[in-house]
Amino acid sequence: MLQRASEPRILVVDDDQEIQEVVREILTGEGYRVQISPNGDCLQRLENDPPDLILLDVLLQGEDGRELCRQVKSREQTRRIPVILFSANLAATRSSATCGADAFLPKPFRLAELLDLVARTVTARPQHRT
Amino acid sequence: MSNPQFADSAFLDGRSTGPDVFNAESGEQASTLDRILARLEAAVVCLDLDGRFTSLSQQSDPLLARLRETLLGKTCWEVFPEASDSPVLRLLQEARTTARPLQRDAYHPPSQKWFAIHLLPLPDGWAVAVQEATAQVSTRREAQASAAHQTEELADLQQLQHISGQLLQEDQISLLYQQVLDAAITLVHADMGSLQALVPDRNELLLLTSRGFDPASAAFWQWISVESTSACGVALRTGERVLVFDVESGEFEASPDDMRAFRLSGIRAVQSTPLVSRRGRIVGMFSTHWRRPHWPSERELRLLDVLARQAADLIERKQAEEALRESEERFRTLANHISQLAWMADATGSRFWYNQRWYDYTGTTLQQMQGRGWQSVHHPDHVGRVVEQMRRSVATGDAWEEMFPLRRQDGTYRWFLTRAVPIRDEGGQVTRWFGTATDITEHKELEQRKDEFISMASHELKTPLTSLTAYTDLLQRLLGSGEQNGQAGHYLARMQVQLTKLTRLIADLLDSAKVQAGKLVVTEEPLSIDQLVREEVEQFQPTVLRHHIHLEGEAEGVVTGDRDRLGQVVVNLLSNAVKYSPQADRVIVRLASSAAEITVSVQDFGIGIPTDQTERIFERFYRVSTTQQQHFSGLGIGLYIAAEIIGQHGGRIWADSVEGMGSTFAFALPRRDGEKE
Repeated sequence: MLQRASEPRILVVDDDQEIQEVVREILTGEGYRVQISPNGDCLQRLENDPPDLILLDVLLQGEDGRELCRQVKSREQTRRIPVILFSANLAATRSSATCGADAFLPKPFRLAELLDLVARTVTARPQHRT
Repeated sequence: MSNPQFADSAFLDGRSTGPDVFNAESGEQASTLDRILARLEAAVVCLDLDGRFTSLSQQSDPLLARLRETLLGKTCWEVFPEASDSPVLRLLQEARTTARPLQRDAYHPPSQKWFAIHLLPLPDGWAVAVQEATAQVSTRREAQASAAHQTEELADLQQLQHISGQLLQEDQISLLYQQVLDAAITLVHADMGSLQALVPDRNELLLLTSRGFDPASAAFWQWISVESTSACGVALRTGERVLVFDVESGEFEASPDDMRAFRLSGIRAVQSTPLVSRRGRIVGMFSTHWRRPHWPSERELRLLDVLARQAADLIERKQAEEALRESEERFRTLANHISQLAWMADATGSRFWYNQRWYDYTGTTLQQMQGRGWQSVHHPDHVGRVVEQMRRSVATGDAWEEMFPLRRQDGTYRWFLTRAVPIRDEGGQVTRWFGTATDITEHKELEQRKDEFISMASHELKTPLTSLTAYTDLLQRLLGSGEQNGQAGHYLARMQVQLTKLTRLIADLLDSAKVQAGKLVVTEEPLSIDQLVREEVEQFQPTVLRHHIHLEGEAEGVVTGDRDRLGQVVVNLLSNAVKYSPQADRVIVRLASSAAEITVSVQDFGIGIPTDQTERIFERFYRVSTTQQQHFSGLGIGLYIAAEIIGQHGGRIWADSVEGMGSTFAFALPRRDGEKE
């Protein structure tokens, strides 16, 4: 399937390979450009090529997604990038409001829920396949 | 002036008038006596040296005539026990020593008359003539006796007052016992005495103090059982005063051992008075003893009763003090051996005692802890809270409970749960505070590990479920709508229903663990229940194949709470309604509001619940027990969690059901629209 450069680019940060794959499937199927990262390292280099949306898992290997989110939201160059936190831990997800996340999504989620939330949060409307 | 000591004797106030009338010689004795009898028209008796009546004159006076019948052959001590102390005895002795006849005026209380007594010493006894005094003499004597009586009363009162004063001042209880006993011996003119306490556990009398006993007798009577034949044993058994005129008379049946003890101390007469507490319980025995046969007078017994009251109070005080001391000792032993740290404070909250564990744990001394010293072992971040809590509780008298860290002697802090309860007196006034501190460090650590485990399990279980759900959704999207894809679409729809169920089961399991930890409701925000219910119904409808959810009514107003948790309750009630009405095709959701609360109800037309189980279904792991219900799977925690959530929002949840007709589950939440944020 074809993707144009103008289509919204979404950065997915999750350490579970299955989740990475299925989210990529869903989002690319909707025409989004998807970039995958198993950890928060990529979040340190956002300034050069900022994504249109970050889907960030709360419970990463050795890292706390909420803390990563707080850092993104505290830097002037990156704070306008919308962040959706998602987690299997409901309490953790719901406490994400304090770290500046724009939305949160509990796991497991339905396909429609994810797409709906992404569509509402992403800065630019996705360009559908022609 | 009369001697008060003898005021109660049958014959009192002897005063020699001693006309030298008779110069008796032994040979003339009978004829002289006959002459006296004939001439005096008075009662004349002859006594031998032992005091036994040997002859009595005929007497027209009925009082004395009766006496004649009873007196012959008996001793005067038996007949007139009260006379043993009277001046008549001395008069007899005096008459015998001087061998001179004597005369006395004496008052006889039973007949309330004055008598002139003439005494004639004989070689083997006495002759005693008794004649009623003239009216003039009687009146004079009565006036004197009345004055004497008052003087004596005054003297006795003064003595009692003196004793009471001493009892008030003296703290040492053993000295008090002695003083009461000494006073009693003096007042009743006894030679010996003893004070005993009843030891309830043994039901025996313990000798507290004695006076005048031979040491061996005292040792023998150290403990007196209720079966004892001694006077005090009898008094203990009967609960009444025992008077023994003469232990040697044979009428008093004492055991040989008791008799030996009596003789060893030279005891002839005994009185034992039970000491009765103000609550009517026998607490001891008060005994006095005489070296000669003797009856104490009524007056003496009354005085004895006054002293017995004092002695009973003393023994009760002593026993109460001892009971208190023992109870304190037991408490301290207990308090030092419990695993908690413990302390006591007075009514103002000032701590005055700690148990050994407190000192062991903190490595401090009472001196260091006194006043505000205890604050030094509290964590600086928490001490303010504790001080404030204690201050509030002292003001209100309410028990309190707090968790805070305390410093161990090695400088590390451990967490403690402290409970402090007020100890009140009978009037409800707080007299003390008793506090315990339980080390909950391990409990807290366990709790934390449990939370971490729940969090991890949640993640581990939900991650594969997330993939499954997402792929199933993708597959369905790939295949298009169910109608086009026939069987495959149908299977996918079934899979999705099951995945939803699995997701809910996992969530319920984790929630039930959180309920235990009280961590269910996290957020507090203003919510529109009307909107919430509509959204949940909208999302729920596509997940069921057969049932149609009808929404009726409206709910005005706002509640405060956790959006997700309340949504969870609605979904739980909807799923139950569908699950337990497999034959039905509709569920009715009703919204309503009053000024105070908002009500949501979910009605199904299914199998229903027996009426007697509609309350128990909100219990954890409870499952309705009917044969029909057994066809339905579940963990029995959904409604338990729902009830917890509603409860934490300050609301109510309930169920109405008719078996076979369906159920209505409803909850009500308090409206908060009037409240300012």
